[in-house]
Amino acid sequence: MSNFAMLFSGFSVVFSFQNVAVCLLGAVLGLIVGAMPGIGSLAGVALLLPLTYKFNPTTAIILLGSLYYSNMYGGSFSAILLNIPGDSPAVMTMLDGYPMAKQKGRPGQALFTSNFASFIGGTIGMIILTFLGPGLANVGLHFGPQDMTALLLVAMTSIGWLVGKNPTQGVILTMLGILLACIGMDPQTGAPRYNFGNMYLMGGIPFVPFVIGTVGFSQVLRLMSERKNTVSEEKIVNQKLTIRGSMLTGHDIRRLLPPAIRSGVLGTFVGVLPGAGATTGAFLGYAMNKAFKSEEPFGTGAIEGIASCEAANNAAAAGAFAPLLALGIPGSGTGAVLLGGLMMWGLNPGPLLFTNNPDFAWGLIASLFLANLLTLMISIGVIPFLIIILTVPIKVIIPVVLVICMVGSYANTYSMYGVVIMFVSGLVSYICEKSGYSTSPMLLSFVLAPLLENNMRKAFITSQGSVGIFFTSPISCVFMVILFVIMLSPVIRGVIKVGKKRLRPNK
Amino acid sequence: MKKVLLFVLVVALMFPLFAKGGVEAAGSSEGFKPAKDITWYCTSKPGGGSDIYTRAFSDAAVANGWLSKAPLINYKTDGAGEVGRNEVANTKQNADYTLLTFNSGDLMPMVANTPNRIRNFTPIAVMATDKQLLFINPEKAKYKTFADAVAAARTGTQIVIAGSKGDDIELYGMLIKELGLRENQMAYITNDSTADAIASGLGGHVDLVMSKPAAASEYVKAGMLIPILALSDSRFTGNLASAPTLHEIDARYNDVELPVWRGIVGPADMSQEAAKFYSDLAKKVSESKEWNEGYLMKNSLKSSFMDYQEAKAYMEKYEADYLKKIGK
Amino acid sequence: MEEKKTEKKGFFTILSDHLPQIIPVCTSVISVIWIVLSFRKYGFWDEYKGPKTGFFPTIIAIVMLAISIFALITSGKVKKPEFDKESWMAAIGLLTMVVLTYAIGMELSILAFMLIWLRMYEKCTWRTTLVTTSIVMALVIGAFRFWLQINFPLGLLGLLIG
Repeated sequence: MSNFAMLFSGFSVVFSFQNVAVCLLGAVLGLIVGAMPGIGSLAGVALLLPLTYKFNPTTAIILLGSLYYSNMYGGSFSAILLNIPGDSPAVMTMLDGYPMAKQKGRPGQALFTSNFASFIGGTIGMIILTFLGPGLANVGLHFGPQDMTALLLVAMTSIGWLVGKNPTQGVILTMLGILLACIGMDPQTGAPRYNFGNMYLMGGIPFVPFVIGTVGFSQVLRLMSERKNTVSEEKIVNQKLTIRGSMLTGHDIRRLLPPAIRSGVLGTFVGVLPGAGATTGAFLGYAMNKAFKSEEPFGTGAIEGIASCEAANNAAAAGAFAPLLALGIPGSGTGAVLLGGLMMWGLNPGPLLFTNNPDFAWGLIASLFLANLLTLMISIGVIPFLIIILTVPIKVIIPVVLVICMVGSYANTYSMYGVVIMFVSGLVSYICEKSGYSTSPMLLSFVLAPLLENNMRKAFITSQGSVGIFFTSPISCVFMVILFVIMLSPVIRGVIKVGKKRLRPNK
Repeated sequence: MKKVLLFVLVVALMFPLFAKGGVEAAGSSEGFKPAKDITWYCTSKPGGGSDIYTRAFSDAAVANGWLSKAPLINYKTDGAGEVGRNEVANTKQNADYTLLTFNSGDLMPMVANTPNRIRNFTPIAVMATDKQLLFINPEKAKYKTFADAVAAARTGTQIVIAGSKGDDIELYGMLIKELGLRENQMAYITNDSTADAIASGLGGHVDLVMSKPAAASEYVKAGMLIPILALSDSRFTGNLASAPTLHEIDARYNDVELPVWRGIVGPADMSQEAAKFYSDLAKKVSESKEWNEGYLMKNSLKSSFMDYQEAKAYMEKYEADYLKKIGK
Repeated sequence: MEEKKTEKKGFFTILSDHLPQIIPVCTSVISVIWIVLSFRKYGFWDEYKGPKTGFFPTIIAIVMLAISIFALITSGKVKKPEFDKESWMAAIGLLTMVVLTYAIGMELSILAFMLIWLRMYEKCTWRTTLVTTSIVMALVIGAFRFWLQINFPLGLLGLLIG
């Protein structure tokens, strides 16, 4: 219970006028930065760092912490409204968010679901963080490379849900995503590979321009033919543009809660794991909840789908604070910048932070609670303004999105290389999608494969090339069993289904 | 008006330095002073190690009025930084106003993977150096001293070292070569950062962790890591003093070290006057309070300033040694 | 594209008709390149250390090759894709913007693109054109350049200025 008392003392630190104001500022800036494609929390936090020199450390870290945290909310906005993910976890949100907004005409509810699920996930993460505190960080330490490999294999099965109507084509692009992700530096030896002597490819294919192209630009190409079909002022939004009109019904909330709570708990633990991060959290949350009952199938605009990944990624962001504060181990690039910030103010992030600077550490945790609440209120408040975007005629949206694609890709890589990657991947994706290849599995494999390969190779180094390591470590053994269960059940079901289809002549 | 005065002051202060330069400086008694914006290339993203270093430098220079305006930082991360380095190497037009943050960790992949070499740059200064140590996690480690670990490796138990990318991999290679061990006897796991390597050490997934003093210091204070080998030609100080060097452990071995440095370079076409100006600026920064307290101390780095001539010789030798080692 | 299915079949129509074959052929070629590179340059398995640089990519490439061949065999059943000429206008627009960036810099190129696209191509009213363009320019210049300090390229114009 002492942790709880410490949290309250943390709140007493946070509730000064200046700190609340700064927290609010961080939440607003984070939302904007998160919603802009191409600019992640890393750049946002890094660029704000100099502004915070004037503040005292607690105030400064509250600003950065709330910015980092609210960023997780913002990423889903453009995913839902424009089908362009603002950050990588939002790739999953897009799968159900965009259909719900567009096809079902419930953009307000989609945004509301995303915000509310984010809030629930984040709150669960923070409560676990408060109660287990430093103990939570130690959970992450127990995960060795073999355990991470097994976990990532489980996460990769979520790709299986996305291959869509044409499994053959879906698997081809999944594999293509992995091969493209292999371009660049070998994670273990540091030598370049598959770059064909090209200097740009030596650094690999940057993810954000790749996503913006694959999803955003190819989407524009598709919209071009749609813009004539629709009557000038088509009715895509069949709801009132108000907060009240965006409210979820009681039934919606009953659908949202169970997956959000499950994902919240799962996401927190994923966030604690070394190098896993919010993206893996979102994928795993989606994969897990897919196994439960949902009113509509995932991927068709299901509330459950949005809730499961949004809750998981916010919980993971909260969970990532455990190793960061308790051990000084950042789970992501953004975490590293936050750590850099701590050092700048004379604090020593590391195992002694909770002992030496308890008011600071608990102040930060308390500020996360506050930031979570403030971000929820702001993001719900802006829903009516956001869905105005959907009432803009497609022909006006098209050039705007084209510009955003270009600017976002440029801003992510600070060079035209990003724009080129965006252009090529968009064109290729469009052609592939037209030919029945769904591209979303490719994005997921592109993110997860490098983590998987690196952990697998680390594991093989410690085992001197023996596969046995994946089954002798208890944690990885458990995941392997889960993996086989997940893999076998749909495969058998799928084989039966395909067999039945084969018997019937193709029309 | 203040700025103009400061400029005059800077130029005046630099005069004795030019005078010492003798014949070389005599040709252009005016020297060089920046008349337009300086573009400073940084091959990490905002918030990365190189960015923090670059901004600390520029903050110190501006705070003391040595530069009237902060340089524009140009982030070039393409091709793991190679594109930016290549661009600077080939800068002709604005050569006197182009700087690049350049570290040993940049030099090694550059010469290993591309034809770009130090001769394509004008070295300006080396600002700081750093060295590594090996640590154990006292709770989980099976071998409490480095000698024990080496003995175990020789008798067939694999010892695993976790470290970061770049110079850590090179240093590991030098270490096992000196010990006469094979890669499978003492294996190395590359992590994305030293923090990840430390995490795997704390979790007991590896036997030894390679780290620089700064990244490990909090864990040493908390008793979660203990230094057991100094990868240097002399012992470290403070709470790292307990770690012996390799030669101390066994007189048959030579000490193994790979000093890591942080420097600044310009394009090959940069004029000598400009190089001298930036080199003098770097010297002043390296002696400033802002730099020493705000950067070096926070990162437990050793200040070891080298001016443009020393830096040139140092970087060239470093490159030659490294090229010889990788057999290029 | 109504006349597409009638007598005249241009090069692109033939191309798009054969996409169900072309894509698996492309992916097969990619996997073969990856496999060859892996074995010739990067290595597959180390006796002591386990997987080498080429190990993981090779396995994936082999799987992709196998499925690509399967897709090629069964490609007859796949519906032929139909493309709309209009779609390529967006690609051409973006490409023009990229090329213009090298000449007049990114901001001016965006400005020109927005005006020309909305007014000339989409025949929007001046009001719509100007309002949309100003919002976009405010975002690009205000948020990206000033707040996030993204230095957009100035193109050849940059040489003139500085």
